[in-house]
Amino acid sequence: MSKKAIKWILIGLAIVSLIVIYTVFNPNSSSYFPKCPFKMLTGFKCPGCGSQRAVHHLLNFNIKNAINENAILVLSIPYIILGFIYDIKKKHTAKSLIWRKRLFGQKAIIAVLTIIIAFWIYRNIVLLI
Amino acid sequence: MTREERLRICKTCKNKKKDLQLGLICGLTNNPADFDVQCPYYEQSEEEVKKIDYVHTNKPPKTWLTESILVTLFCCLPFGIAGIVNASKVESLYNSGQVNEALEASENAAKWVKTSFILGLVGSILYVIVNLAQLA
Repeated sequence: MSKKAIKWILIGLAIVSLIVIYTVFNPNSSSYFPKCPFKMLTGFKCPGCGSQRAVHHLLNFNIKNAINENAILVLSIPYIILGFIYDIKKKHTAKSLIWRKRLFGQKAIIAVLTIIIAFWIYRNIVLLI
Repeated sequence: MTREERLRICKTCKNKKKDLQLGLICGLTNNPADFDVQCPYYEQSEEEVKKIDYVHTNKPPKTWLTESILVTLFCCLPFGIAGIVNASKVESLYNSGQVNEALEASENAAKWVKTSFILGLVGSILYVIVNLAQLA
């Protein structure tokens, strides 16, 4: 077997085992899952806090709980998949280039950045009130 | 061969050098190129070839936006944000004709994404190992 094949088999195995682990165990009731370093240091949530719990709920098809844990993560999944498709795609038509610019151009990226930072501030303000 | 034809070849050569008076010259001979058909000193620079590719295909370099969002949500947050900031620069630099700068922003974004991915991965693995060790 070539080195490349072994590498992809190992990556595949790692992904499958992670999926199994995150489906079966709830990061909320187990202490073996890594904690957010930002939250440990500052006590505030970061934009990614709750991602592991959200993944657990998503894998169990519980979308409502997943959104409660980390709404940005759930909402970003279709966007990220679309982004990867645009990255892989080699031939672009004029139409797909226009949509690429609308969705992933500079303005779109700044909007994404703003949304993430607003979400970050919002979830901590909610905690304080 | 004309000077222009030679320059097209020299442009992608590792040994090229810029001279204020002579323009593009050979860094090995310190003279303008004078070869015919093929240059014995030619060494292709992949970086330069990549730049020319980007100029001709009209497609900006990879912005690393999706990867930046993923590491922001799953790993170390400040680095992911830095990745997104660099991603936002790539396209505007490319569209204003600054291909080199756009490629640089793309590489910077890639650097932030990779650093935070590796840090996040190593941190998580260490955390799990320490936790399991306490159990034993």
